[in-house]
Amino acid sequence: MTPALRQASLSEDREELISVLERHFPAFHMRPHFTWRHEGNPAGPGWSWVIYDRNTGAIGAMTSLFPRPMLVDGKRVLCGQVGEFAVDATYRSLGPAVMLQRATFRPVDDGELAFCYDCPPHDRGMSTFLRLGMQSNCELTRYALPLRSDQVLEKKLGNGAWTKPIVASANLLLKFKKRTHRETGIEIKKLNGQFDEEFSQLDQTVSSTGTIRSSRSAEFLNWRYRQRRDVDIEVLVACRGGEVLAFLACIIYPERRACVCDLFGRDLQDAGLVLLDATVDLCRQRNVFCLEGYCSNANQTKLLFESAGFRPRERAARVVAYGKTVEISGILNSGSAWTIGSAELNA
Amino acid sequence: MSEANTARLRDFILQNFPTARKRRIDDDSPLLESGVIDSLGMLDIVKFLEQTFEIKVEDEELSPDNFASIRCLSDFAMKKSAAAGFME
Repeated sequence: MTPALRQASLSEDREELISVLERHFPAFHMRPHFTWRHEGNPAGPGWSWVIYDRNTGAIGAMTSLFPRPMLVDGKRVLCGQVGEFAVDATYRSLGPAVMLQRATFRPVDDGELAFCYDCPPHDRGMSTFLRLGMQSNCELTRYALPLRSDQVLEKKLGNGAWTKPIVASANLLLKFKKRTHRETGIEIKKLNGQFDEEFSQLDQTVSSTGTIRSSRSAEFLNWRYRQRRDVDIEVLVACRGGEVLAFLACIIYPERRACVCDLFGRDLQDAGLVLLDATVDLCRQRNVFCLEGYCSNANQTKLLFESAGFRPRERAARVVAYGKTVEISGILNSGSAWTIGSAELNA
Repeated sequence: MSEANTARLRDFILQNFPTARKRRIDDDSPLLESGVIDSLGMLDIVKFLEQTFEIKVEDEELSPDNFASIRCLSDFAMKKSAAAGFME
């Protein structure tokens, strides 16, 4: 086997790419997800690279780079997020992974992107970057708020009749955990339709000076949270006097786990907490076991999670960024600039 | 590559990878597919090879073929050393 790298064609290699992804992520409905992610992205189609056997042409590994509008120190730039990193067992060694990782830098080197970043979830995922002499730029922590004890207690105590009263008591305690809600004059609405221009304006009014974060135009938000069909996404909007202050997007998974996949806006110290309270209520109605979210240390959401009773769990991902210009590399290397969360973590 | 150099590689792997000791691997035991060595472990081996045999391991040489077993590693290091003009 002689591994070689080439850029994939999203039209000609489409079926083979989907086949590799289906092998590695069997839980996903990969075909609609692939279409949504590659063809629906308002920022453009992105790039994919494959490792193939020079002798047979068979594809054994791939990765993709998705264009993503970001705000870096107040400037709107196009960056790329690495995703779909999948390597078949026969190719599982450092060489193919390094070749793929290095390929993701090409659009940056060619000036098509301001920078690109990847979010390796574990230490092993850092090995390609260590080989390339790169360190992580920031880390994301998972925060969790248990809402029901059924799953945890039944796992520990079994399914016996005597488990039920213990679970019921624990659920009652979790239900009456302190609420953070204050009288703020904030009204919460469920967004049933599309994100409109008011959300694009919100994105423009929230300062991003000295920080790195995802841009959130209405077009981008509609693609992320309205056009995705493989998961159940609820969006709650906080308004005061009819004006949109903030929004929260939450994925509710069939296994009764929920994840705050975006929390963004202004006056978040009030609006964010009211949104989190409303999300907890929504999750309780849906019998969700645990609500979780991800954020970097510099993200204001961290304080909101803590105020709302979430507890920090494990380090969920590191962010490793590659920029070419001195100007962009300066801010990329400042860990405190990365005010990111689930919205930037999921490609 | 002399048997002495293969032994140095074997000693390094047995000393630094607990799973290798636990499974009492020999020179032909699979290292990657059995999980004895992961990608971070490969970095350690590369560092060892480069320092011990004065070779430079390129990205495309970090392939499953070269790292499949102690014997494959030994053969790879021998070829690289020969190409670099370094022989024990």
